[in-house]
Amino acid sequence: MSDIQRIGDLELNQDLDFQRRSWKVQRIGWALMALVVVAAALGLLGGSGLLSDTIIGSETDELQIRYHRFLRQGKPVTLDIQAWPADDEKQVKIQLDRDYLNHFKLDQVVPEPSQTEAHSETLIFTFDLAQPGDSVEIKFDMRPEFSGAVSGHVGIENGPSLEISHFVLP
Amino acid sequence: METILRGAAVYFTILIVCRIAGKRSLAQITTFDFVVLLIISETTQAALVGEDFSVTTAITLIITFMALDIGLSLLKQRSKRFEKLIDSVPLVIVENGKPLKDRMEKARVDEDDVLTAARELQGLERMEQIKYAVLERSGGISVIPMQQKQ
Repeated sequence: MSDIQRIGDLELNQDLDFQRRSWKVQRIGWALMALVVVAAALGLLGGSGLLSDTIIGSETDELQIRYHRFLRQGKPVTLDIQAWPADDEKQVKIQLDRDYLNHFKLDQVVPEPSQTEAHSETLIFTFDLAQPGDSVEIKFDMRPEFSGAVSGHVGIENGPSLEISHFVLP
Repeated sequence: METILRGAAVYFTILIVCRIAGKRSLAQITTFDFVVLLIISETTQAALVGEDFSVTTAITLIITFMALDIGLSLLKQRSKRFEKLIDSVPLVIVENGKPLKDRMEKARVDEDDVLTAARELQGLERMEQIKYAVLERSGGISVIPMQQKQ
């Protein structure tokens, strides 16, 4: 099936041209592999990393969200929401777009909401504050179910809202 | 459908990465190479099966892999080029007692590897007793000793 050559007393299907081209391709392959490792380290392939960790909002905005821009399908992630409600507020109502949440499987919300309301476009999670006006940190532990671009609004009902977007790798 | 896509993606990734890594990486000479193979197999399992414990998934994957394997082997039979692409070609690295240094360097084989193979396979003692040493497609080294002069 292959061309058998004669080299001295040996018969074998050596192919030096092919071998030399293979070595070149091999080196290119190594460079690509190195790129993959660097991309992963930077967070481009999902998870945490310089180019993936994102913080939007601030205390003055009364809302701050930490999330990863690049995600992997099935890999658990945490959406970290920090809110600074007004001094007389006894509750914080966090509002998320349904379309956004539908892309995820929600594993846990920490702390547990005291109430969840379903509206046509949004879901509202109500959290009771220990002291009125306390700032609160809420974590949504979830896993992306589908690959592709996902974006949505996360915010406080009748309050500030921020848009977050991810790209989910398969 | 997703199972098959995952299976095929993982199969081809491992095939390509191992080809790019070079022949010696798969020859399992040392503990180092063995560990890499072991770890790759563990990593693969999680990606293929995940939290899916159904027998159907296992059977689908097993049959998909064998089908890919058979498919590729048929392609190899039909096409010399394809066969070389997948399996690589043998390479003479020692000729008449003289190691071919630039080839050995490119293939990342050193004289010690050749002498080890010579001892293990032919019970030879010195490089000058080796007529030919060939780096086979598998990454192993085969040794043909010098003919004894009658």
